[in-house]
Amino acid sequence: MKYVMLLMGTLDEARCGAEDDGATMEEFIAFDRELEEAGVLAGGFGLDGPELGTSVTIPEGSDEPLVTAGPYAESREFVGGTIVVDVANIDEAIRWAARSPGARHGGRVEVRPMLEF
Amino acid sequence: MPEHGSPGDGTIARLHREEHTRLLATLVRRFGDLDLAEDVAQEAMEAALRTWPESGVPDEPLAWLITTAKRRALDRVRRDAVYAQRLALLHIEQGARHAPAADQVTVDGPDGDRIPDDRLTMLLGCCHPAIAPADRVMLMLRFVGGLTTAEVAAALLVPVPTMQARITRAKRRIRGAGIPLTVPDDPEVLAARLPLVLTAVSLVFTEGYAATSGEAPLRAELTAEAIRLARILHRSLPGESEPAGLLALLLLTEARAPARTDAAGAPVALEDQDRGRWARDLIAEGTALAERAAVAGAGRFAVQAAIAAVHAEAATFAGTDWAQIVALYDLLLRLDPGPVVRMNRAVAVGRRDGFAEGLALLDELGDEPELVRHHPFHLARALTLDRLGRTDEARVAYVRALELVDNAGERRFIRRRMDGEATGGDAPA
Repeated sequence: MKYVMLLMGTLDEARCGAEDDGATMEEFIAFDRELEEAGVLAGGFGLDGPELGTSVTIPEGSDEPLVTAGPYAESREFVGGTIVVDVANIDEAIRWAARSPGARHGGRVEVRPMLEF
Repeated sequence: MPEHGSPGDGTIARLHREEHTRLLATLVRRFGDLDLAEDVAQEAMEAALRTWPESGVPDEPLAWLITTAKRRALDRVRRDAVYAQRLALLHIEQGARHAPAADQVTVDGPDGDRIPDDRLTMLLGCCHPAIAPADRVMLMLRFVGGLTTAEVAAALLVPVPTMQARITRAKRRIRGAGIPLTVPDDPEVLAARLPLVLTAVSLVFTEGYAATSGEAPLRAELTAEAIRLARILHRSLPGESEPAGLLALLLLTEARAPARTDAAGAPVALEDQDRGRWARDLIAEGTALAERAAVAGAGRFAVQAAIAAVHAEAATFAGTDWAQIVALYDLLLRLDPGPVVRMNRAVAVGRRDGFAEGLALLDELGDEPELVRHHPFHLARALTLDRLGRTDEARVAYVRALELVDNAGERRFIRRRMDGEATGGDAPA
């Protein structure tokens, strides 16, 4: 079963990859290697900072896209990246999530089953 | 998906609850699919009800039911490609994960049947950390307790449609999120899971214990239901300390039930209870289990069982070994350093060393956020202040406790104490 690990950060401590705190790039690369060696890595990507994001929405009763700079204003949490693992069940997915650098340094990993079409 | 809604289904479930829940657990273990297991278990129970009156009850009813249900499942899989596909998927993914013998417990039934009791699997599955705590209680009652959805709803004071929706949602979550209904093969995961099951079973008991007269009778039966679940857990893990401790604690608490309320249904304090009305058989069983639990370990429930056993052994309230109770609370405090345990310890210290000492310890806890709105805390302070003759301060504490309590029986208890009717004792036990 495929699970997506959503690597969540909060805007207050949005320092993913920064050198002073937060998980480092090296930690993520090492974790990626671990997943690969275990044969469970099934994809994923990292994202640049939420301040570089642009939101697009079609407001109710309109056909025109509304484009705003930055993430959705009311959410303090953002997705910093994703890792897809292919494992037997949620127990294994949780075990991997707990090993992820994204679960440390105030981060949070949300484990979601992937919809497969 | 039958929810046991049609008339008669509830009767089937209750008549053969033991067989039904064991059957369901075995099928879930075999198929790894709750929906299919539920469907064919129900069909097998119905087939039994149809054929047994004529052909007679088979020598091994459970074996008969399992065979019948498995045959139905095979039929279904042959007919239904979607089911077949889902099952194949589950088997490929989980096939190697069932440790066949290690986690199986064979229970000698009255007929001497040697079929493994798979309900431990269900208990552990229902209490998976990825399931919300409130849902764990509900799923346990539904699938291990064998209560119908309507019964679970009545017992937990939730409207039936709400309960139906919650169960459906939880089942969807179990399937959709890939939550395994198996015994964890990793001993560390099992060790981490067990406390969740123990807590959920104790919550079932607490729900029943908190039931007030006038509420659904089913709700009060939750104490017996919790004891049933604790028995399954203890029998499945006979060498483990905490399941024995939990069962002991529940039995020793239940033993006081006949003396716990007066004729009008108001709680009677432990101090004022007629100990002659305590259920001696439950005390004997509970005490023996508490000793076994203490030998095997000293976890949260084993220690609480030991405390309950000390109370049970005292012939009178005055004869209680308070020194030992305080020592046990000290032990409990190391396992669970929360303010509620500190509060109970303070009350015990008051009995051992004098009310002034008890009050001093209670007052240290006055700012604990967990206790500010916890009525037993204010009641304990009120009763202690009363004993010290500080009536005005006691009254303030009684009033605070009254503001926070939401149970009619306990409210009556507090009012009576406030008006100085009874001789005075600890909080309702």
